[in-house]
Amino acid sequence: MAGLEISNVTKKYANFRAVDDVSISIKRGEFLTLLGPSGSGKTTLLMMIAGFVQADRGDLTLNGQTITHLPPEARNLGMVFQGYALFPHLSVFDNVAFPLKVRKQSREEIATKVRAALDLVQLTALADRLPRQLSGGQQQRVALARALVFQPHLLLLDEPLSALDKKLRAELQDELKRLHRKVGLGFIYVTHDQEEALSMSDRIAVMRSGKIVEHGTPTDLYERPNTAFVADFIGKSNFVSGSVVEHRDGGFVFSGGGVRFVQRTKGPAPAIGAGVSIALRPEKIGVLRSGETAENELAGTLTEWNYLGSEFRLVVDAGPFGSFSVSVPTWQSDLAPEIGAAMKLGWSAAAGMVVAQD
Amino acid sequence: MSVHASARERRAGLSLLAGTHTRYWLLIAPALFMLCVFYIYPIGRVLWMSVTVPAPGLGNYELLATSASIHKMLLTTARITMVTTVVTLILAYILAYTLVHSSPRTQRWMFLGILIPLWISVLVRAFAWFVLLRRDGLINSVLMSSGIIDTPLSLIWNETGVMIGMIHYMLPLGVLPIYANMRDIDQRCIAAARGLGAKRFEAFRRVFLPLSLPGVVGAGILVFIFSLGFFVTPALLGGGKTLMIAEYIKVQILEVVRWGLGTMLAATLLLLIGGLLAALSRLVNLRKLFGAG
Repeated sequence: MAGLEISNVTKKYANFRAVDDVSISIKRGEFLTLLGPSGSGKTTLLMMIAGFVQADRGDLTLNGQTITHLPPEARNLGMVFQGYALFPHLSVFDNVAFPLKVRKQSREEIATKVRAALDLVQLTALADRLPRQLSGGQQQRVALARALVFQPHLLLLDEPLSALDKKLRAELQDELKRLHRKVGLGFIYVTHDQEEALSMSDRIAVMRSGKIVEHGTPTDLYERPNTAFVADFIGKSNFVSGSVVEHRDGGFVFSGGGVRFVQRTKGPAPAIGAGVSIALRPEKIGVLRSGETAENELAGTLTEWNYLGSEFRLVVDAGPFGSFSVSVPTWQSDLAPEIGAAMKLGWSAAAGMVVAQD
Repeated sequence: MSVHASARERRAGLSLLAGTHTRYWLLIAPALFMLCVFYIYPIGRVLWMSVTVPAPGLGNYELLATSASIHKMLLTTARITMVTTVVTLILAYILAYTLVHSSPRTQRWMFLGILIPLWISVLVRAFAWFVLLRRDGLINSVLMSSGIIDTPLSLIWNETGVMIGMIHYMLPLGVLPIYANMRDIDQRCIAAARGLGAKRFEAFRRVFLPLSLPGVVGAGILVFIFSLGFFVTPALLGGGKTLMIAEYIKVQILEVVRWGLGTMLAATLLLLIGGLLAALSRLVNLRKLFGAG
């Protein structure tokens, strides 16, 4: 199989499992993001793929060949480090030429390939500069050119944008996506930034405590998360829990805190009496005007509000249900928020997502 | 009115400034006085005597070109200094490399081992080498009794002895600048080199070694200059047969009382070191090398 297959890899430090029995595969040309909070094992997993960390158990297979115990230099994987790790004593040209020189390629071959790689990241004009004479964004492009110039099997990126400011980051995200389409390589991208993950990836694997909690396309994970952790880590969610009291066509009714809620499901509904949790995105909750009704309703008081131009971000205290964060588009609302005001929140039966509680 | 006022204020400010200046000068005056009396004046005298004793003129300096015994001594000094510097740098590099790649705990112990000799008097250290290097010393007796050699090696009262003692003295001075430089090398660069296809040794040769060179140059300057004018160890371990410039000067001044020749050699050494530092400061940033800015 073309691509990388990770099966049951584990890495223990003392009695802490940095990576715990992880299996996932990446196809040629795919953009896979390892997303997770710090300490979730995403960087350790990447370092295991690169060969800097040895797996205690499990196997790595690259294009059908086992690479579990190969040293990093024998794996032929491109890597962009956090902070870039450019060689400070070498010019941009020599930095990019490095992987070709250690592969003993001819001088002409090196010159042609380095030019092409620098063209790809639009840095041809700066070939003679030293890394310290470049801006953060330019350094990051040199790191990309250096990691791609020797036609690696895969490109590994360890939080490559974390050191840049927000505007530059957005620019470079677009550029990385363009680059990915152009070179057609598999990219494995590590980040803790869920927005970055959503906007760039073909597939996201969400990690927590050394395990992959869930993986799927960005839409899958945002629209249909299976766990409360993912529902809250990718985007934001409010949670309502209770126990199932009644089955209905295409859904069920559950009750929690003395209130009955209806929830639609695609699959089979949970058994009567079972505990359920649903996650609700802030944008799927509305503020009901007097006389308006919704399939699910909840009363509360406004404790905080922010005006963000395109939307109001409200925090509503719903008594035993805790705080709800709600976002209301400003253009369709005549809302005049006032702290302490009583509010009725409403959402449709299709708005909630049933998640496994952890 | 307001113009006058501001002029007055400015004057007041100036005199206040002058006041602070005077105070600063007063504070450093004792140190400055000591420096002039005990350092600048004697050095001036030495330079002066080198062109006036026994007769005014450059007669003493002509000896540099003509005297065979001076040639021999200069050659010995150059040879010992070079070998000491090169061997010290190689050993210091290995030590510093091990040091930066050790755990913090091991590093603490290694540092103790490197620094303790620095705190022990150079005299004590030279006498300690006697015990080890003598004909019937520890090293020779162990080698003899184990049958590796049948005549004792002459490890002392010659150049070998001088070099062993000097390298031992210089080692900490070599390790510290190299270590300081290596500590600042980003380890991710080495990892990046490996990831880009360089084998362990190639990553060292192409990335770590060039990045550590500034530290080696700094340590080299330090050790070379220290070795050039070194007195105690060569005098004790050389046994009077291996004369380096510092001991030669001492002999000229204290024993054969040729002040002119002695001061000429001292002045030559001073100018040589000054010249070397000036030349090197064009190649490397000396201030940065020795830890400033």
